[in-house]
Amino acid sequence: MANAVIETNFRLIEQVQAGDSGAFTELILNYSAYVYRTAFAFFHNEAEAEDASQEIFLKVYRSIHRLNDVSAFPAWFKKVITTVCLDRIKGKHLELINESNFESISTTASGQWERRIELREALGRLSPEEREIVVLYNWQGYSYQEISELLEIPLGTVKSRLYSARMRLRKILSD
Amino acid sequence: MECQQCRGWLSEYLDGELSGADYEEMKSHLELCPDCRQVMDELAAITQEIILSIESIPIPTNLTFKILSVIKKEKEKAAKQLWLTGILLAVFASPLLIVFSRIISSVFYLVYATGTVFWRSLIAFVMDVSPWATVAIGISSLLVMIMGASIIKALLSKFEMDEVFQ
Repeated sequence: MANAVIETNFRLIEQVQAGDSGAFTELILNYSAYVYRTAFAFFHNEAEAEDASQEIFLKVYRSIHRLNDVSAFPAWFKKVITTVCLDRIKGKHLELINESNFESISTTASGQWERRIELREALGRLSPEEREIVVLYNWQGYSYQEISELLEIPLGTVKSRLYSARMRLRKILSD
Repeated sequence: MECQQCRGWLSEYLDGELSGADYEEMKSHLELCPDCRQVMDELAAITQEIILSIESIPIPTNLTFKILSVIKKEKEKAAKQLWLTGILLAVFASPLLIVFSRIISSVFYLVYATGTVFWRSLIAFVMDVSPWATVAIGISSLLVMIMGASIIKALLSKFEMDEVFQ
């Protein structure tokens, strides 16, 4: 299963845990893009993704010292990101309006780049439930079982929702 | 296997979630059915491209600055809370410190012991002398106290208390 991997400098995490503020700044510099992209993939809304990114780093700042095993950082960090994003989706109960300024597909854009933008737009047109399951599985790398526990839905629903999300993406892209 | 059933299982097949007989059945069907195979290829391509697509999301230029500002505010808040907690602890803990401090306890004990000795001596003295002498001493003490109070009052009346407190 292909998914985005969080590359980790464990020495940096140890420095952060020791209270080194410079190390925490470095942590932000290293992971802010990944965090923002994950949040944006969930919400497809720039303001919401920015707010979520700030909340995620605030949570990390407040609780990273409680992490006993530094090697568990990638899984722990991924969980923090996922929890904040899912809580925001759950708490707001709103269909976020796609406000993102996607690059307009120019005739000079390369085919590969054009395809990525098309797919991004297609992800934005999925329902929040479909999008979250695609992001959780394909980007975050959670298993069917883990998604079932995270979203508190039956395993069968995870399978059917992922299937319908992919089929919808296919349909949007082929239209 | 029907095409409809195959489409329903495509997602799981691609994710390696099918096993045993179901997997073999799907594999055989896909080998024979070009339509289902095409759908599978399209879904596989989409699945692969999702990561690249998310990785290409542009990052706002001031994102890091905003996150750093939030953390800075949090640090300032934490520092303020630390001071406040320290002051409150000192305020609430000071009576306990007085009670439990060995030095302070020793001073209290010394005052108590001295007072006891003085009180016992006084009782012994009163028991020994005649009652008239005791009355005379009592009246003299009262006069001395009144005089002392008058002197203190006279001294304080010349004092500019406002200036002292300012």
